[in-house]
Amino acid sequence: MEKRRASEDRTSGRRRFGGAISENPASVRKGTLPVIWHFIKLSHRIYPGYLPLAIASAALGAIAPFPSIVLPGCILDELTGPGRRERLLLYIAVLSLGNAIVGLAGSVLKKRLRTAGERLADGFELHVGQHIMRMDFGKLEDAGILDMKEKALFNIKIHDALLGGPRTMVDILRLAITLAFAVGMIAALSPVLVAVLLGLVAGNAWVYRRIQATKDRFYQDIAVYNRQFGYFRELTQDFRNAKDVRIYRMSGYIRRKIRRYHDSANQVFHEMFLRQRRNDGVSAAFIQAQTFAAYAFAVWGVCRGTLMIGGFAVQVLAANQVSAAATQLLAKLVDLQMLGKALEDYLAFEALPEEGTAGERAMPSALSSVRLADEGQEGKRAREDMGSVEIEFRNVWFRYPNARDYALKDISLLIKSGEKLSLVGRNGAGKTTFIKLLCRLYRPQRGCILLNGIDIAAYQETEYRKIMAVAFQDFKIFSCSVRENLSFGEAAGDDRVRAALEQAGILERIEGLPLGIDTPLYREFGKEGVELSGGEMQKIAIARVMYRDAPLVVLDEPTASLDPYAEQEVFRRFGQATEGRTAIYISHRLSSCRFCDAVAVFDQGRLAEYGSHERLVRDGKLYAKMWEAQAHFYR
Amino acid sequence: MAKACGLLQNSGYVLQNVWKYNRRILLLVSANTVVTALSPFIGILFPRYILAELLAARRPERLCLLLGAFFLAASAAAYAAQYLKGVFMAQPAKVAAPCLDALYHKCMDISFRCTEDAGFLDSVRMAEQGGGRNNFRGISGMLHKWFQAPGAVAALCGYIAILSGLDLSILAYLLCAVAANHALSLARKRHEHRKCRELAGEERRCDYLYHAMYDFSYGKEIRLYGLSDWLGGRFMACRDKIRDGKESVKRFEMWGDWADIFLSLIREGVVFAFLVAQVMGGRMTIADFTMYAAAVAGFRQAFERAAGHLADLQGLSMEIGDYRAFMARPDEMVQAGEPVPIPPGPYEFRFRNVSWKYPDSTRYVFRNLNLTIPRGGKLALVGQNGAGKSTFIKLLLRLYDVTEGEILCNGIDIRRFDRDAYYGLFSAVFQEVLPLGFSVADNVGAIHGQRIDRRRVEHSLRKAGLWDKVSGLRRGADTCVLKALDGEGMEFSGGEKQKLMIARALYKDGPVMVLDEPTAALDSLAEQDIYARFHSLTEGRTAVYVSHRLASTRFCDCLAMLEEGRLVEYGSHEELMAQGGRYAELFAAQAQYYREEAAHGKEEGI
Repeated sequence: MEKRRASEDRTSGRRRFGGAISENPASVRKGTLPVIWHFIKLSHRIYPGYLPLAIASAALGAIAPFPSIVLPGCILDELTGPGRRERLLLYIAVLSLGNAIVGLAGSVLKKRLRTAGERLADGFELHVGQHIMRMDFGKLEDAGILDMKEKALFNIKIHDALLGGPRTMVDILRLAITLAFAVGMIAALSPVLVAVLLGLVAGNAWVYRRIQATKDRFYQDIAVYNRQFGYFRELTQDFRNAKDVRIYRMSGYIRRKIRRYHDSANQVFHEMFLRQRRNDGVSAAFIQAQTFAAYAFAVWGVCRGTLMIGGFAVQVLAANQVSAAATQLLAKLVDLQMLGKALEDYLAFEALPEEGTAGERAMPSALSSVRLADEGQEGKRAREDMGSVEIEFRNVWFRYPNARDYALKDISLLIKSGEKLSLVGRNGAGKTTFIKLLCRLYRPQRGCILLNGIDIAAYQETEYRKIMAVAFQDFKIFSCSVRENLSFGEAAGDDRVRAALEQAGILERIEGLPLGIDTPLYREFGKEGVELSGGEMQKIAIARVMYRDAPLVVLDEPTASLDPYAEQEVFRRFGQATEGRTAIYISHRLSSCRFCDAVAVFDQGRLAEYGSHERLVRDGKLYAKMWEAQAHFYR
Repeated sequence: MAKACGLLQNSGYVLQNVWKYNRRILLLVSANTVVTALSPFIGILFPRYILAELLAARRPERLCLLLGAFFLAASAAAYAAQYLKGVFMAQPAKVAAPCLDALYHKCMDISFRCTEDAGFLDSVRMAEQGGGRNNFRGISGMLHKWFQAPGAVAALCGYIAILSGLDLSILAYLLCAVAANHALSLARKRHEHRKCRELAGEERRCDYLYHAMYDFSYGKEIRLYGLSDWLGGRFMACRDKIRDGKESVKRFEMWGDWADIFLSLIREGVVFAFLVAQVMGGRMTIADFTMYAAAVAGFRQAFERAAGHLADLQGLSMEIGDYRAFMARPDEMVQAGEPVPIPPGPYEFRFRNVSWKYPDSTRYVFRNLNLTIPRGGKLALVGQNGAGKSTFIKLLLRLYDVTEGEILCNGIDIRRFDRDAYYGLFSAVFQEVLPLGFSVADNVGAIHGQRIDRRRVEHSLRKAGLWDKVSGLRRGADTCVLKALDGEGMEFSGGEKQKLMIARALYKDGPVMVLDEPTAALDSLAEQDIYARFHSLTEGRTAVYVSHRLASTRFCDCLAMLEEGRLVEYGSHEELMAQGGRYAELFAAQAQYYREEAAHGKEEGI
């Protein structure tokens, strides 16, 4: 219903949320036809069932109007002429049955086509989603790409793009057939009428183009407002903001913003329609002129004696059909052109490179078997066959795309297999960037990162990532069960999930819930879901790392919202859980450095200090200062 | 109460709002009704007279006159219809806007507890639809229908008038067919609305998964754990379920089509046969025959249009029902009697036998909690995760109401104050840092509803230690925070955002300061920086500080240790350390790694 309404609104020119059409330098394909052709092929790939149905329904739609055009004329001729009863009955039967059969077939096709269209639309959302999920990670943190995505998706939504392309093409096919038939019916009798009608239609098309252009300008204007409105209304409802909204009494402020949005959007809307009503009026008059021409010619024909009364009716009806079909056809062509232009944004977005193609090298078997090893069987693998993982950063320089300064400058650091390294530094010193490079989410501009002596870029992306388990500072817990948050759909034995939860110190809490490890997290999904506290969520993120049982473990700020006991627990278990593994630990609570083999201190992108905790405290530089800032309270 | 609201009541409700906000709509509706009611007959009557003239005298001047008049009348009507539409289109939003405003007000005013309900967001979304967030739904949608429906109904009546000259049994049949069709489409609408409700949960799940796939912020997990297939699979499974769920709606629609086809089969067959018989019997002229044939066909269209509008009105009325139901939703927190004015500060808070649990839960988070925050004092609240610290803060701020017991502010039960006035007492900084996508100055100062005092903004930023950063930006305090609304917006670091929130609290200058884990994400030097400011931040105020970094508790006059919803220890840091109880133990757990003597016991940590 939603979709149909959306398209109704569009065709009648009443849609509210409009698409900005902008020139796009990165555009891959230009021109309407190649773009539409791309979408037709894409739709066929996503759901091959759609196109044949659409074509069948177009063919049916093309012939549907004709019984009602031809047969009334036959009846009239029969009535004014010989008046044979059985002939009249036959005509009436053919007319009503013909319409009924076409109608029945049409309704069955319509239903199936709708389902197919929905399938296609869903498949398309998945297609774009997969693209986003596989896109080169660096793009995700690029504000320009975010904008590009929103613009592309916006246009896709507004123009109902994937369906819009094939649907418009099929409509054009249908209308062309109808037009050809209708023209054929009257061309022999009065070719001049055909010429006059088509001339009027062309004039109308010119007006229609102007209407569309005005509208597009309008959508461009309104898009900005709508984006703001979307943000404002989110603020009124999002429960995360609810505390702030109340305590800081933001209600008035936000409502004022929304009111201002309504006023400006409505002003734009109003002006557009004022401009539009003249065009629409002229367009309506053009259509009346076509009807007038049809009648005038038919009257002329009857007066000259070239037309019978039946012929009069047929000619009027067929002429109306010509003008209707031609008008729609031209409108569809204009739509198609607009659609093509609007979709260029999307195509540029679709052309962004996906990752995972770089290296070809497989992991050495000791490492690559990590995840496969205990599928099915429970418990950890013996420590000795945990492969050796030695990481080396060699003169690594890295700068974020579009950034002026390097985030990492000439970092050289060796992390020996089985070593525990603590990364320390002020907010923004480059610690998390270091981890992102290690995860191959970014590539250094200069220098290289080696795994056991081989450049990590040489490995297959997915293979490489399997050797590591990472809990990011801004970790995301998904709205699904505890089990799924650990295993992500992998057939996971209860014991393995429990063991990981136990290691993170949250098993007891989870077991205490009515659904145990199958309890959904977050309440968005229904009443049985639980909202865990920030600290508990953090423990789930740690459990996720433990579950992976990988030879390289990275924990970025894992204890920021944990209480002292839980923190102590994490510290204590960290040693156990990472035994025989290489581990990197980032924390602002410097106490954690005490149990790491080495501490690397970052300062403004550089590796400022490196050594054991004791040595760095003795050195009395940045680390000693940071340590002292916390430690003096505890003496 | 929502159930009782039928089409009539909801129409009345919309009419009230039209009367209040935009009476022009009524004028436009009347004008359009006249135009749309008349225009179809131009296309029926003129051809009849033209044909009659052709079959009879064929006077050229008569024919020209008829044709010319036909063209002029039709063009004028068509132009007028478009013109009126152009004027009308922007009008409904003027009625919907204040209705939505009231809705958003309620959203932000309803007690905090309600917003945590799983169903809350759904009901807001439905109410928004009903309030006319989209120009063609809810209240706006109904007004658009008002614009079209009366004309369509009037046109239908016109057809009935023409056809009543024919034969009453034919007319009766046509009317029965109309009624049957309408009943069917109503049933379909109702079915659809029910289905939509049923599938609302699934839709939400789908929205979530869509969001998880499309939102860049999930990018790291998706890549590192290889989740693209898993998420995509779940998304499609969800969509499949929705599509299957809606299959019955489509089937319903198809049956409606079939019924309609069946009815029109009879109509075309029987009516044409009847008309033919009339002509053959010489009881009808050919001109009348064509007119009636056109009228029968036109009747069908007019009826479909009118019935469609009516069915749409029913659907829209149900949406408006959702809106009204939300607006009538009772708040969980009710003001007991006439509000008492807030007493002058400084403030003391006393929790007396406070128990609290979630309404739908049996587990008490607090049971008979007794705790005092001394007048003008600074209280540190410590305890393990899940001990109830956050809930305590929510109760203190009256985001929750106590289940049993009472909370006294200077001896007065806080439920007796006006809620909004009570909120005015607090400057709170929460654990979740949520700056808004507006300018820095707006984030700090505008949100209280008064004009921004720029000097005070600067002062607050200075005190929070963010002024140096902000004044160094090109647009200074007018720099937009986040990129949500402004592509040139500034992404501040975690520590800076936290300071922005502190500046906001300082600007508000509430006599009670609440700090809930404000330094969790900060590095040790930034943390120390905030500690160093703590005294000046809380000067002359009552303050409550929640933190896992126990060093911070040293600034407070007294501290309260919570354990599983009970107060286990209360006193100053020194007292509790001397006492050697639970707090001392907790402190030791954190302190051990910072003490020199532990330096040698490194194995302890491994």
